[in-house]
Amino acid sequence: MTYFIAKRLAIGLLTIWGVVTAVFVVVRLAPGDQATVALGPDASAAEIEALRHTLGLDRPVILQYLSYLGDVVRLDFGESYRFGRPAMDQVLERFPATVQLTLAATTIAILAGLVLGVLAGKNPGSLLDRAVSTVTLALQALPPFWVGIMFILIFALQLQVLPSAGGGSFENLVLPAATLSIPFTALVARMTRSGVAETMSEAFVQTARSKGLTETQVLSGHVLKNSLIPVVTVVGLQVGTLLGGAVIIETVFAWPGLGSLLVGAVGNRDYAVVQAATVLIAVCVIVLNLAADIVNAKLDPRIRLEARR
Amino acid sequence: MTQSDLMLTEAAPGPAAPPARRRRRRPLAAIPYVVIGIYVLVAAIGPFLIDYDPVATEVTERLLAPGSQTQSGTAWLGTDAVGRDVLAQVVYGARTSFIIGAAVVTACSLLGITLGAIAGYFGGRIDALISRAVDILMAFPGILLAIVIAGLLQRGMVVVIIALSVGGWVGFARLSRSITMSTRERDWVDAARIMGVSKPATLTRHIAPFLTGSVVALATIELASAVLSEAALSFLGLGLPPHIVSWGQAIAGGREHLATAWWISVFPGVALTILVICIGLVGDKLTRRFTRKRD
Repeated sequence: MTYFIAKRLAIGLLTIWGVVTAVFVVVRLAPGDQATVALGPDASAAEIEALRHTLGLDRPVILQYLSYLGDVVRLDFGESYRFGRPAMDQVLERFPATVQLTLAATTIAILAGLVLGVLAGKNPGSLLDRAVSTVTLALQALPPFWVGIMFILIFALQLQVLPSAGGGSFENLVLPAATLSIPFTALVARMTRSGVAETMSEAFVQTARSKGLTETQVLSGHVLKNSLIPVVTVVGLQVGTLLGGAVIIETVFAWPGLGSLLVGAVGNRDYAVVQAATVLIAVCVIVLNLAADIVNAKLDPRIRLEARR
Repeated sequence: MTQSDLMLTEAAPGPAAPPARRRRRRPLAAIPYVVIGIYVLVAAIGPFLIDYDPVATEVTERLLAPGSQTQSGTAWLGTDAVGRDVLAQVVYGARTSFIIGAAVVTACSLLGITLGAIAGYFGGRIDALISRAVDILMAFPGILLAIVIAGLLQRGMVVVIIALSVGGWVGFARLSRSITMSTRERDWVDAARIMGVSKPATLTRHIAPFLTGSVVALATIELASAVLSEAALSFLGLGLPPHIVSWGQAIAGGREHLATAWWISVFPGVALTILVICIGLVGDKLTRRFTRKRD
């Protein structure tokens, strides 16, 4: 088990290094470096040269890269030129809103997905099963940003029951969380469906039925418990996709989280914020994936053994 | 993303077994293929039938409702905030989506299959190297990578294709690696080795053919995801430059006029949604067909 965790942790650190390096390369390839962007189009060549020297941009690229890696290890991402404060502070300030949004979406997805999945899986091949399968497939394919706009059109503009943009209150959370949850509801429903359908043919379900338990008791007491394990771990492993979706949804609803900050920073070439935000997202994904992996390995010894090979 | 995970529990490679029993014919099953066919036709022929200049603006004809008369004819789907025809945007956007989708899937599948097959066949250090690269890219959400790359570099079609391909090849690599690894152990591969067939020839002649079905299924799913991601990038204003028509841009363009001119955002979005769902349905069907264990 220790070996397993150590291996996953090593891959995690490698991933953070990969993300940091990739962003560094992209920033160097981008037209206009930090100095030109920060000073704006009116700056004189001498001013730009001076700032480049201060920022160390006139040194060889390899030295810049090494000192940048050193800064990342010390969690120092430099100052955001737009906000005039350390980029990491700016990013951490926006982080709780993103956590709130993703947690709300996950809750909706698990609740709705479980209900749909059980309904479909308890009678495999039935009309209801096929209907749920088709609908969830369609839900998984919906473009989230467009669904968000349609929600705004329907609930904010036509019915005027919910606000279209902004953050802070519960009303503001409803539409973005619902939008973000759609593909994950579909995913949870499909996972639950296959788990329940598989478990329904097990011998212990027959036993439970022949004991005279009602169908509901069989489902809740015997089937669901056994089909939940893969659902929980898959949800944990999907956190990257969830955060990626959140970035777009936050922009649609002007939700004041990490994602809208990142998109704004990319648009405004605020490199320090881009770097800080991508690293934080990478860390989140890795930590939560690791947690899911550990839970998974605890439940299923085969995974532990495979990692040892 | 998720489908590709399911596919990794791939079928044991071997000659395709004939279906045990013929399924009942379902006439509805043909719908996705027909719809995709219509989209391809529209994307290929439409731009020749409809004139559209993405840069031209006609201020007197802005925000016209669907069916309104304009100087150049009837705007069946209305006009946008600067007087451009929404129907033309839908048609030209289809072409853009197919070009980008096809380019991304081609790039991803070539790169992914090559690397995956090499990793699976040769194993050892080269496998470890490729597998670590796959691990890194699996952990970081591909759309974020695309946002950073496409957003910071010079706007352009090639940059968008590269941005979407950077994370997209991973699925193909995992799939072809695992199939290659299990096919490598089969009798006919041993037979080829004994007969002195070279390693590259074994890989291309005796292993690669068994990748086809699963790869086609995955490519279909990746096509839907590439079309969707391109639209998302352009929607965020980080994708294609303004002179290339894209559904994502058209949807974003209608955001400020939702209350008065809903058609600007609705129709390109409907076009995008129907296409992506149909490709997804086909991809799901192919995945089931080429994967023994199914959900």
